[in-house]
Amino acid sequence: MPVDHQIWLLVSLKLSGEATREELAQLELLMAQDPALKDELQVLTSIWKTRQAGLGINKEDAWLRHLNRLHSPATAPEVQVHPKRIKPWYWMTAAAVVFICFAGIKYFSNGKGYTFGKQTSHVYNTQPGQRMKLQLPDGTSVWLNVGSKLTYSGNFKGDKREVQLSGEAFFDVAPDKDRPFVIHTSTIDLRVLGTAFNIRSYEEEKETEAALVRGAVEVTLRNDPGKKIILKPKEKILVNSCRNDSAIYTLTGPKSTEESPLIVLSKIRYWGRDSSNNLESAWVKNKLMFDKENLENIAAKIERWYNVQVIITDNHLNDATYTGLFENEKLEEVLEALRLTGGFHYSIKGNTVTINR
Amino acid sequence: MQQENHIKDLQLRIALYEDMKAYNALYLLLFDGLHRFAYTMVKSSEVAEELVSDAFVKLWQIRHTINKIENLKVYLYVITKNFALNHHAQKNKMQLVQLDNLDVEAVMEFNSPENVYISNEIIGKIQGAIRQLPPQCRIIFQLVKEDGLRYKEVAAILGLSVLTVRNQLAIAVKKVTEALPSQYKTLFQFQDRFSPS
Repeated sequence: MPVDHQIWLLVSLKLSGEATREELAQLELLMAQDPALKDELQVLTSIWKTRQAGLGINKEDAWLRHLNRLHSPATAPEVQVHPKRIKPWYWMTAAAVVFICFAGIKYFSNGKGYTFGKQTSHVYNTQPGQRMKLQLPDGTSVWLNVGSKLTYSGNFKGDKREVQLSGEAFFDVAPDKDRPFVIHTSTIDLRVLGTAFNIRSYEEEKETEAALVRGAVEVTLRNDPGKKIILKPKEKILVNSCRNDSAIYTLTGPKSTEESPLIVLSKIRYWGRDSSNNLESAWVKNKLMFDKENLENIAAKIERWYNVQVIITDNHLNDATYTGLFENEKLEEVLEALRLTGGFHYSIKGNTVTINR
Repeated sequence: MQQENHIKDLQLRIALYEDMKAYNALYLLLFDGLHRFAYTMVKSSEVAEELVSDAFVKLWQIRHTINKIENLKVYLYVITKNFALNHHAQKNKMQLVQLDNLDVEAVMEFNSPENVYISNEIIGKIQGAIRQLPPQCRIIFQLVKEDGLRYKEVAAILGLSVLTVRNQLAIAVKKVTEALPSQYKTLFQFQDRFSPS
């Protein structure tokens, strides 16, 4: 080995901290013979210790962008080894969508398993502003929307696959004829044999809604278990959790103004030309959607989506309804669009949005 | 060693408890190095950030099994590299891209040095020398110096032998030193101006 290369080998070993005791002794010996080398090493050491500046990216901001990608199934890379990516929304054309609303959301720590009796319970929840995709042991995929919680026990080894949901979720259920998939909420239970659907359930909302694109879902009311409703494709169901009587209305005209019925059946709605784009599950595609909703409902959605608090100072503002679809838009942009339609005023202070006349 | 144990601890917390805080801490700990590494290959800060994000998404997807990974830091560098090569392959519609064939970008923006006065002129010369290095040599220099990776870690990431990493780093250090003709004299003259002689 040339002597010259040997010197640089020793110098670089010393700089990187990889030199052995023998190598360090060898370097000392060389430096004793050549004082210029000692000077050079001194300068090199200071250059070595000088850290590069970063590329001007705020790590915390990058983390937030990363979280968004992590919880948005559209941008997340497939975990499969196959190089070709599956079109993530292909199956959406054949999906069933279900929305439910009920009370009592408690936050547990993220997805921690705990032992309950002899079975292990798994709890997944998302905070406001946060969404998550997860896979259940049977292969079912679940997208959890903001501020939601999903619980299940064991590993689905029994004759049923049962989960508890509060909040909103989109399910792509792995087919299994022998073991129905059951979703329990405080107002209704859903029984599925193998399809994909979306469930939503927030305590702030008075109604529970379920819409189906493909397959069949059997809905049972919690307070009237004898009554079973089969949802057909492209239908959705709305259950009012604030009333106890039961009567089924098929929605043909405008909603009754006096009292809202317990259950309303209607067709799911689409936006754009693509029949896979139903409004009920637009959130899975990172879209914030309002469908003929009043400001109170919209405020609740905005609170969860942007993790802010919305205060409406004037109840009269709730009379008007709004329809709109927002994709990757900032809070200010959404509020500005609403303001232009509704003619109200708003102000944002920190995490609080105040809406007044 | 301390960092190694810290990463091991985070790795365990992610694998066993799906600990988001640990996941966040790991991201912040390794972001700069991985981002710089990706940047040298794709030359776009945005794309580099996406590749790092992809690597961490993948990590989260396989979180239950990551306890089996011996060196998580190396693992993340390897998948970031693979994502970067995939990115190039897709862009150029090529079957396979080798690191050697890539025209890599050296990232050499120095912070103002502490304790020692290094003039802008010298920094410019160092940057010039690094830019002149062959791609592989440049990446090795960066990974060892900036990211504090061990020789065997760099070897594992780049798929080289430890001996190659040793030799390439020696060449890099030599070239950087050579690019500074009588630089140490310049340096000491510079310092002399401030000494109360």
